[in-house]
Amino acid sequence: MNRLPDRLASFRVSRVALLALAFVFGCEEVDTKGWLVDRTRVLGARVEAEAEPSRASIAPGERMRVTWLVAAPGGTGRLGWAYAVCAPPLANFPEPRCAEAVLASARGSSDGELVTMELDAPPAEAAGESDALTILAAFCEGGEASLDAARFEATCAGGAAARLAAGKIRLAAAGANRNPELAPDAVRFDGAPMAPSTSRAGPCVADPAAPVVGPGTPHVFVLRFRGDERESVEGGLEDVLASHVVTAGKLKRQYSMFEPADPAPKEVSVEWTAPPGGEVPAEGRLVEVYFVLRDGRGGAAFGRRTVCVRP
Amino acid sequence: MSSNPLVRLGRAAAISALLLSRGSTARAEEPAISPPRLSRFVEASDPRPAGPQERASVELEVDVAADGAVTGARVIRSAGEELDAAAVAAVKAFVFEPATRDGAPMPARIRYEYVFAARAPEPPPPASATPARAAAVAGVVRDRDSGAPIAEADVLVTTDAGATHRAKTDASGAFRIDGVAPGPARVIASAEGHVPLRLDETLDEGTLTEATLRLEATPDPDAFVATARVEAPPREVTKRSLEREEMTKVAGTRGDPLRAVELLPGVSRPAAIGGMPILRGANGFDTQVFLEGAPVPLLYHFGGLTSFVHSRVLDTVDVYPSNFSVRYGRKLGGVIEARVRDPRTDGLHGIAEASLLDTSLLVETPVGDKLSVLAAARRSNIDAVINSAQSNVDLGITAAPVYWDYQSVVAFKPTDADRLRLLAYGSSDTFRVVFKNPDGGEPAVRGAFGGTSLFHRVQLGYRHRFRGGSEQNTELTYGRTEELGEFGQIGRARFANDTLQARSEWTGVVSPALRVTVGLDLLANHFAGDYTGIPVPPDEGGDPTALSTQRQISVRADDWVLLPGAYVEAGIRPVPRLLIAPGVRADYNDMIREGALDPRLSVRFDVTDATAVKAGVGRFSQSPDERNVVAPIGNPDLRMSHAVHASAGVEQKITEALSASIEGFGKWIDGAVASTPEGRPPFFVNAQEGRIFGAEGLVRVKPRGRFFGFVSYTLMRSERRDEGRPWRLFDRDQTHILGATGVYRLGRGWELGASVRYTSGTPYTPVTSSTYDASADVYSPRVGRPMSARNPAFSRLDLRLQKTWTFSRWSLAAYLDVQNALNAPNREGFFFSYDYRERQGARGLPILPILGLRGEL
Repeated sequence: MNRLPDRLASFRVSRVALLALAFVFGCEEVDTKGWLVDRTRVLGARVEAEAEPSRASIAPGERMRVTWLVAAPGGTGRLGWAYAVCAPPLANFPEPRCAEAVLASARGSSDGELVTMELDAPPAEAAGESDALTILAAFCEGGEASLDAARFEATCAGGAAARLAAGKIRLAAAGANRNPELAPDAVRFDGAPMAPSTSRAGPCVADPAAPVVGPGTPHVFVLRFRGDERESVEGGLEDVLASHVVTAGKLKRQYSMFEPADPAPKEVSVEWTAPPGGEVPAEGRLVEVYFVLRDGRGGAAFGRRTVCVRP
Repeated sequence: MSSNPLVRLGRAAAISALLLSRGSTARAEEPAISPPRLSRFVEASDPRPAGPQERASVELEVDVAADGAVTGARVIRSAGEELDAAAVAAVKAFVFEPATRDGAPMPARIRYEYVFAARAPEPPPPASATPARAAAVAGVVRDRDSGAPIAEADVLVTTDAGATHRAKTDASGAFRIDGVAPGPARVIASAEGHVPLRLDETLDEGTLTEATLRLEATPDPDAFVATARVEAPPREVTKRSLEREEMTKVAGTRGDPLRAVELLPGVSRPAAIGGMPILRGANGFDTQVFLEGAPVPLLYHFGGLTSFVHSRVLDTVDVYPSNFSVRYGRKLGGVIEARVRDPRTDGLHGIAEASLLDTSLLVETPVGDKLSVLAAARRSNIDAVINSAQSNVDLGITAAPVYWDYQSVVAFKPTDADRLRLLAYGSSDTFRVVFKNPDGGEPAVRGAFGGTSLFHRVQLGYRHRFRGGSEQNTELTYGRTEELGEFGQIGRARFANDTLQARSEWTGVVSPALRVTVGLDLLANHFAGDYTGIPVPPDEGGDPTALSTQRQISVRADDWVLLPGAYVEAGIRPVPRLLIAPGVRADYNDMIREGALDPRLSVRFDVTDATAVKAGVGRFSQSPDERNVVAPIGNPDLRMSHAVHASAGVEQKITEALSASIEGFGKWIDGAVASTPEGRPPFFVNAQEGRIFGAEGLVRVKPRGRFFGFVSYTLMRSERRDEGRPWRLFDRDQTHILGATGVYRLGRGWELGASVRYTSGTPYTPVTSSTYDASADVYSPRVGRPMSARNPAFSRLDLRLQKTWTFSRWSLAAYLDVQNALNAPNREGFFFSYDYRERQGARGLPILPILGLRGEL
């Protein structure tokens, strides 16, 4: 008979061994380019109780908001959207879809990269044994979205392809949780503080929140966590996954991690190379940098910075 | 003693009897195959006229049955019609101790030179008729080439009156037999690893006759000399065995016999680092590897680098791709059985080997007359390479891959009929790497990954051979396996498994037409440990999934599983050319409280001496894995899975060295354990069916000259059907499987080998789109029709060049083994962009040259 450890050993250790051997024998690391906003992309969803926006755990029947961050290389325009909320199936490898009854749904449209959907959380009995709900969303550029929650498919009125995204709504039954926060001074660029930006995509304009750099030049973002913005959970502080993406240039990687055992404060640095001259017009190009924090328990936070690249 | 013993030399004996069969030689130090031994000599009636005669001989091909009786004798080299007839008549009355393989009697075909001694003038009649006083014979048995005395040689003296006297040589090779009637007598000496020798003597009354018998060693397989062949008993319909030459010299295997099996017919290519070979379309997890009858948990270090046992410790490797004997159970795919040889008894020997991958040492020696010891150990060298290369800032290797293994054999043979053997072996793979930052596209791949896979086995075996070919084998094996796994955020596992196996088998030769094997096979597993992490993906047919989106499960286990089994098998020969082997095996699993009764039948008919047809059918059962049964992640109601195997084929011997075979086969699997759609409760069900059809052919040139090799081809289709879904391809299905290997001895110690493998690409389920998961910041793939696309065909050329320098007491070999010499970019899967819109082929092993040195004492 084969035992669980055999399976794990053969499946997982072997994969790691393969990675290591590939490393030894000089295979190239594959860049998935998850750090690049090369088309309209959903970058995250933040769930908050309307009465207490810092809280990410929702009580039955409570008024709540789900805000989606949707970025586009040239700035996010008007988006049609639709959503559906349902209880997730108990399964090892569940497909994102509403196999059971839809508990809430709506359609609408909005402008800009933040798309907010407001709804009332379903009653406790609707979630069954689950301590979380699944929210399915579809986004359409320039047209209304129509969502088939059972199949998790969507069509856009304009004929464009819909962007499909799923999120999780943590219910109070799973325990309280607070959204993490990205402090205004949490990001530094080449050693200098980098303030949140409100500049829009396009040519560079003078803005103290958008440092100016030359095409193709290397730079470093530093993300700093004090530690007190993270909640204590069993085993220490909660972990926080930081995702960072840019609309141009090349970022060293997509993710940084703040682990429970990490010292506080902790800084991580991410190298970024400005887009080459061929991708930068004479009037300059504003590059947007998005930071999304996730605590792995349903909490999230967004941050946005900009850099001006001029020839 | 004659004034000139050479004149009276009646060198009757097998000029080539014996040896090698399938990777096993009949040398004294490697006795798993032993040739027939003459136990009753019958002198031919010399038809020549009275008076002085020259020496004459007739060379015969003799068929010796499993009970030692001569069933046929044919003249190969004639000495004239009358002498031929007399020799055939005499030889047909011979009785042999049968040839054996691993103690089991088997039929054999040998060559025998019957010598009619030169005849001197008749001596004058005795002066008186007083009763004769007994004579005596004494002497020494030595190796003809080295002159070394041969201990434990059998000496047989027969007289014209029919009296038989036996003796064994002592440690100095000496023997003495008293009380022999005077007159003409035959003195026959035989010893393992040597060609028997006969002296014709005339013993004088009251006189001690002394003789020195110099036995010729059986041909060394490494010397590529022509030999006769002792065929293994056709116990299974399909049994692929590797000869020792093939085991250790196939290009691309670095001399690893368990890698060489991948070139045999019906063996599909596993995943790049996938573990078990795929035998005739069955899941790799449905195949069991045995070492000396005990199941072992892994075949290769790190899933494919090299096998867990030193190649020079192995005696034989047998592959049963389907229709295996009732001796094996609990699996419904196939069986690979490796057997360990006994230590050599002719002095101290050793092998030291070093290559880029590993370093090994083997030492063996006799200790006294009845005891011999072997010990081997190996350790990888990969960490030396990796530790010097770990400069990557995102990948910290804290414990580079290290594997080691060991084997030790202590063989004690208190008598000719008894062998007590203690076998200990073990293996360890350890590896740890730290991803300092999360992997691109999958944040769950971060932190420490690695683990230790460790096992030890100790086996005590006792074998007793009864007169007439019956045999009793009992083995008791204790094993411990420890698995520690750390998979970053994905999961953690810590398990220990204690295994106790008792196996006892009795093979009785009831008559020349009936042999019966009865066995008990008790396996007890105690497994304890825990796992926390994401659900383990399905064994087969799984789709690509995002790791970060999966739930976490936890399981703790501390259980015993008892798996008693019993079997009985008969070998019935209603006529000499027909063997019918019905058998039945019973198994029980006390964890699921279910048993199985599996009847099996094989038939083999030797149409001619060169042509045989064969067929078989049988039922096979397999228990579900513990992890699929244990709550809360498994289904306690799972039952056994079953399969029916059927096959039929033809074997054709073309020359002594060249043979061909073709075989068709089918497997039907019912009630296989499969994951439920999306892995919903009860997570696993007995709901998968399988059907496998194919044909395979093999053309083989055995190691009898400068060249050996084989070409194999398999045409096959393996399909599965999950509950409520249409048939689909098995995820390792390969329509065409072509394997070829050859080794040519150039001379002056140079040897060149090449292996080629070509297979159809494996199927996969294409990714058609993806959706974004905002809670984990990953994309989840959406897939198309299961297994509806295929990777490109796989091809690989391996080369091996070896130069051996032979000195008086030792030899040194340097070799270069190049895997994937053409650097074929075989695709093993895909790397996807973050959102699965783009993909890039993940190539398999690049060109990998391995340089090694091996010294043999």
